Amino acid sequence: MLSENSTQILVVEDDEDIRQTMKLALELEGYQVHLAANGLEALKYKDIAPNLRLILLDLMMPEMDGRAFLKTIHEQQLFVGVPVIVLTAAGEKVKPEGSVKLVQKPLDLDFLYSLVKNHAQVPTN
Amino acid sequence: MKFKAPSDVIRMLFLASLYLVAAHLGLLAGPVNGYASLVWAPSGIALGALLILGPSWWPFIFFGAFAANFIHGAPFFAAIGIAIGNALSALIGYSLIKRASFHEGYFGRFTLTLSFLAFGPLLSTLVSATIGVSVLYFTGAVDTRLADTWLAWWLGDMLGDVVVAPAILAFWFNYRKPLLKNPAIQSHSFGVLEWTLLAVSSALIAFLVLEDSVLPFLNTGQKLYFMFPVLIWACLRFDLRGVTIHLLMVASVAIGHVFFHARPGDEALLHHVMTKVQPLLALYSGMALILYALIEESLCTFREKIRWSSDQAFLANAGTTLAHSLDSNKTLRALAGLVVPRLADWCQISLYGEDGALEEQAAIHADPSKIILAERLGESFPPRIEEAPYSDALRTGHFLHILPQDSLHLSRHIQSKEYRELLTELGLWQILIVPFKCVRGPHGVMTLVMSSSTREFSQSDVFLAEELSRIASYAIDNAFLYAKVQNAVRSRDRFLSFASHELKTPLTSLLLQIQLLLSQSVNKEVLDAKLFSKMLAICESQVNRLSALIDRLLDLTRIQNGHLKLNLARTDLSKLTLDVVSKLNPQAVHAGSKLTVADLHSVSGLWDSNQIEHVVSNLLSNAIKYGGGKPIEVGINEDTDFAILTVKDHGVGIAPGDLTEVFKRFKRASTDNKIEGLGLGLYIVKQIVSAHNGEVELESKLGMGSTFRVKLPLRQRQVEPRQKFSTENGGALVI
Repeated sequence: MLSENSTQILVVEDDEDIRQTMKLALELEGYQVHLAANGLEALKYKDIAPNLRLILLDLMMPEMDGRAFLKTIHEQQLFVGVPVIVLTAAGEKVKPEGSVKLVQKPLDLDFLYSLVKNHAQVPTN
Repeated sequence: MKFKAPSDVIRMLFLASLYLVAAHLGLLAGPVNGYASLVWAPSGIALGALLILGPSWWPFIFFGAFAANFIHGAPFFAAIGIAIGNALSALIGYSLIKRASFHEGYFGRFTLTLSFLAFGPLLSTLVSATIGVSVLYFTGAVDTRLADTWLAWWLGDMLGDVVVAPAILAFWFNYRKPLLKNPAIQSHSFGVLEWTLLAVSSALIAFLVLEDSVLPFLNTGQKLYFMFPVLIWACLRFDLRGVTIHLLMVASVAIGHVFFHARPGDEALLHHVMTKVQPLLALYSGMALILYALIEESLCTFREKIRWSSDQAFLANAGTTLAHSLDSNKTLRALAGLVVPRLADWCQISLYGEDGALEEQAAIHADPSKIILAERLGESFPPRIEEAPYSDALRTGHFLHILPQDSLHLSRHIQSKEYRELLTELGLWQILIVPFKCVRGPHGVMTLVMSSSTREFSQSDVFLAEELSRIASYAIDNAFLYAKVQNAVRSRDRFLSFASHELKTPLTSLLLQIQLLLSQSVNKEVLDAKLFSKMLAICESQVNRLSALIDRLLDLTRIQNGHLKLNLARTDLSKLTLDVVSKLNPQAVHAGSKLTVADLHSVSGLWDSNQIEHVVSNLLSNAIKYGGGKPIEVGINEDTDFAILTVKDHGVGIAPGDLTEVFKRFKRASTDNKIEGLGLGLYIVKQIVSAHNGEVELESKLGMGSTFRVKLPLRQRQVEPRQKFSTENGGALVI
């Protein structure tokens, strides 16, 4: 169940179905999930950045894609200390700058859970 | 004889005077019975002149001979008769020799030389001798020793023909040639020195042979062998001119020798001259000419053989060089390097695509300092293949040889000053245009130019150029096909990566959903039915989505291969459009672009509803993607022949240069730098609409937005849609 102390995760993904599925999956595990459909929308969450433990970022999105988002947060020093895991369906092999890990789609549920558990951390201030 | 110009009259008079002088001198030099002489130069002049100028010039012979004999004291009618005889002799000699294919004074072939000797000196002179002696007899000028007179006449004329005529022909036709055939030292004065040496030694040797007091222990016959070294030297080092000089010197020494020893009424000497000197001289001269012919002929054959094997080696090497590279630019450069300087002084090669656009270019000049100029010519003024002379060459597939007078004419007609200056710098004398028609690849032309008159395109040069162009065509075809295959493979790879990305997206959520369901059903005893139904519904919709996606991918491959099959059915365009609009509306709202549908008329036609749905969907998705958050207007209309769907956005717009480009496969407009994706949407729209025999129109302004208009025919004139349509850039999808 969600509580004030639930770990907060930001999911940035343009596909509606995947967004909803991941939200459902993570909420069932007790995480609090914020959603954004693309990089620009994700930037709107910069104010709650201190509370975020993890960002799951899709690469291919309209308006602002994953790489552009990473570049922006690096330049503007946003979401500092929040690990970013990049998801891709495009068969990329190299993780982009600023991200912690690169994961191929489709995701396994258990894998998703272990990924989040391992990487969601308290941001260092 | 028609006098074409005053110079002809002068020439005729000159020849007549020459004849007269020669005849007079001949008659003075101790003839028999006062009328025949040792070497009758005029007959040689006559024959030589006719062979050079043509038979219609015979009058000079007639008048010259008449004047000479009349002045010398012959009765009037006798002079006329002799003149007729001499002219007839020359004419008969001329016509017989010409019929034996003798031309241009060419003594380089054995059979031709033999014909000349037989018809000229030997046979035609019988005529003048016979007529001359008969006329003299019948007019009473001569009544004794007719046989001797006749023999002297014949021998004299013969010697004139065999010694003088070839000399005239040799010097006339070889006027421009170099002095020596294969000089070790290229120097004019050296040539003159050798010629002088030849003349002097010929004279000395002749003197040695004829003068009994020199080397008295040898007889004339034995001494004759000394002539041969000089003769062979003449044949090998000099062209015909050298040989005839040798013969002229020998003849002159012979005449001088007789003259020196002659005493009036010396019958024994006369007999000696007529039975030994003249026949010997005639025979020697004839043999000399034949020897020259034989040597020339075998040298020629030898040279041909060497040239032939060198050509073959060249072609073999060329084949290897050209086959080396699969890059058509490299191939062209290699080809240019092969052509220059062996076949031409400079050359330019151009390749053209199917639409006539210049694709590749190479240019080179034998003079390294002019290579840049040649390249500049190729870049600034490439050959226009739709114009003559290139169009002719490409059409016939054969080479075009432009001779100096025509090339000058051509260059005068060029408008551009810079072009003319470039051509003058590079040098334009003779041009050879060789087309190459590749089987599948681009067409091309190779322009070979000789810059000055020092070189000409020979028969074997043209042959080599054509062979080279054939080899080059294969190489270019190869390069072209290779590029096409590479393109196709790239195309396939792009498609596969696109397909896998598209498929993985719904699979991601599907997998997660199912795993969630599994874990829920395993872990929880009480199942939340509502949650479960929701999750299963999502799964179902995703499977449907996957299925639809696979269909779309299959359509895509069919479109790319030109095998799109249309299921035509009665389709309501407005209903279809409204469906798509409602489906995409959430997306539109999310992006801030409100979808409004205006002018909705109910329009139906025989179309493939599935495909048309893709069209509408693609256009709307694009409008949302590039709409920049501004409203999008959709409208449906009709005119007499078409149903018209309009999608108008107010977003980033499309640059004028990209208006046709956006419909190409994998192209994205230049304003698009943030939006990923493979740019297939509009390509698919175009292909589907074309398959329906419809049209797509696009109006756009940068920063203002774009309007797409799709026109679908209301009545299908041909029920079957177009099955095959071209894949641009020559690409094909390889799966």
